[in-house]
Amino acid sequence: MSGPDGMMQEDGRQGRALEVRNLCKSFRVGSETFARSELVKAVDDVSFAIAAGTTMGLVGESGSGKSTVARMITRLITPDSGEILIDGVDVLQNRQAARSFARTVQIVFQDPTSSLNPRWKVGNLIAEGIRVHRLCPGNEVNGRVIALARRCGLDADSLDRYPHEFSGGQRQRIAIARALAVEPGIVVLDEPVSALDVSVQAQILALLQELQDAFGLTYLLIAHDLAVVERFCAHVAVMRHGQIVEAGDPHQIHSDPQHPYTRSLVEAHPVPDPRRRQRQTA
Amino acid sequence: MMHVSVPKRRGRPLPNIIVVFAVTTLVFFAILAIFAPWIAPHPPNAQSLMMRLRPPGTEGYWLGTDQLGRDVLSRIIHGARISLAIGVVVMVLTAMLGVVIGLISGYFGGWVDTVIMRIVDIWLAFPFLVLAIALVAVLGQGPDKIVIALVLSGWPGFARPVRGEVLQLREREYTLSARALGVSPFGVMFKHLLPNVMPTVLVLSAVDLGYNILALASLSFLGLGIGAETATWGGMLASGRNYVATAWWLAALPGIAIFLVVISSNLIGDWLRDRYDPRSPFRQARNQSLAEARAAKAAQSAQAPTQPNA
Repeated sequence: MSGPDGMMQEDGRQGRALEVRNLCKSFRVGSETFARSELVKAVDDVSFAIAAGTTMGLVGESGSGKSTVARMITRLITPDSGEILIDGVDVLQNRQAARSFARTVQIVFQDPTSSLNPRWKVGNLIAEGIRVHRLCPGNEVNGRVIALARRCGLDADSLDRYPHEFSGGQRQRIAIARALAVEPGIVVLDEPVSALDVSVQAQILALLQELQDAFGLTYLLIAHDLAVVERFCAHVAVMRHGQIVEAGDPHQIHSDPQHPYTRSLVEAHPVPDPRRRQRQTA
Repeated sequence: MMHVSVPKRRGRPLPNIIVVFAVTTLVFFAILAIFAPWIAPHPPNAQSLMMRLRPPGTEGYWLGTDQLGRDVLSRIIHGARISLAIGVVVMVLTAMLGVVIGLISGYFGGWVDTVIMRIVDIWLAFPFLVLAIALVAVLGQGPDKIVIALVLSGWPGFARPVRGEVLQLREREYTLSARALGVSPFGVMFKHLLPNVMPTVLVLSAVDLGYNILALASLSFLGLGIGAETATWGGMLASGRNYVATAWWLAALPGIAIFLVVISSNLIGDWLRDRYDPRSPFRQARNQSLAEARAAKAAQSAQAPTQPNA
């Protein structure tokens, strides 16, 4: 596959650098007919950059705009202003680039119960992207799907079943396989483990780590849990009211939060060690 | 076609016996319709001036004869043909047109949705039958014209509920993930949304069948249906009206046929909703009892291996 500007890629499975500059998005809230609607700034001048093959965490409470950022990067909604650069190319301005990058950004949602169409078999769910983009000849689709399912820890015989027959963790594996089927370079993980049991969370995070190492994926990990981010990311940004209030090394932010909001976020998280807990309250 | 979305039914779920009755009735009439020429004892238009206005029970004319000496039973059997054929054809076409319009309106939203929904509003401002009568008056008579008129007046009954459901479904994460994968708008609509609105469409269709048959009968009754030479239930009802005082069977028997078919299709619609509409309280109750049964079974089988040791 050859990217824009003649850039060559052997298989498309290579992390891409993602940069976001001054991203803004407002929503109109309230009645349309009787003019009392008001604009709410969901995302207000957000900028960050993620190097290819690395993970950045985006933390914030619900309503802080982090999911809106995720959806703009995945091009499910259009930003009001700002730039989204993939490998340095602005995909909002450059239509041609946008098309060639269309499948390079994929998303994994929080709740695999609702992110998998209940009326589709798992095999077809995973194969959909491959078929839509004609990534391989029709007779090879099956083999590819099976290989991908195995890679994500699913049995080949699970492909004939429906999503509701699986546990939450297994469903999230299906959702991950579905997203990876189109060989993305960047994967937005929108709270990928917060709907799962703690024991399963660790397995899914391990799988994501493994896939990142194997394919050099670039991750944007969205979470409201600093602990998950601290373990998984090299870099973290904290969002509140549509703005990034603090960014940097996750360990540093955790041990020495600068912004009062980050501090409250850190303190809100229970510490499993009583001695450390005392230190935290002291 | 009914012009509101499927109403919430109160009370208890339908007993199975009623469903069996409804299905049997429809199958019975369907068989009559398909094999009409072989089942009917007389040709539907064979007149006999000697045998005018004979009551039911007359030898050879079990359901009696009309004012021209035509066999009522044969005419009802042949009338089933027209009624069911037009009812089913109109149902399928109305559902297709309404679903496509509803999908487009709900999925694209914005001005497309606004325009389509205002058209629906205008459509619904006219009573269904009045609209159908007006269309037949413009288009002229004949089975094909009737079908067109009924489809054109009935589609909002599908479009509006489907659109409402699509409004919810398009925000579901599986729709978003399909869009992120690069599936085209029509791919999302027909491959992801359509299967999920099918239960609603099924329920609406069953009810729609009854309404179509009733509408066809009403049009025939008003003399706007199919030509007078064809036996139709509505037409029989209309001509029998003149003899209601002296020959009750002329109006009553086709009326009973209409009643049976319409109520059967409505009952089947209710039953389908109980079964397939996830919001139906009966379905929830049923799922719950199923889950309890499963849990009890699991607990039993978990205990089973320990029993021999005990």
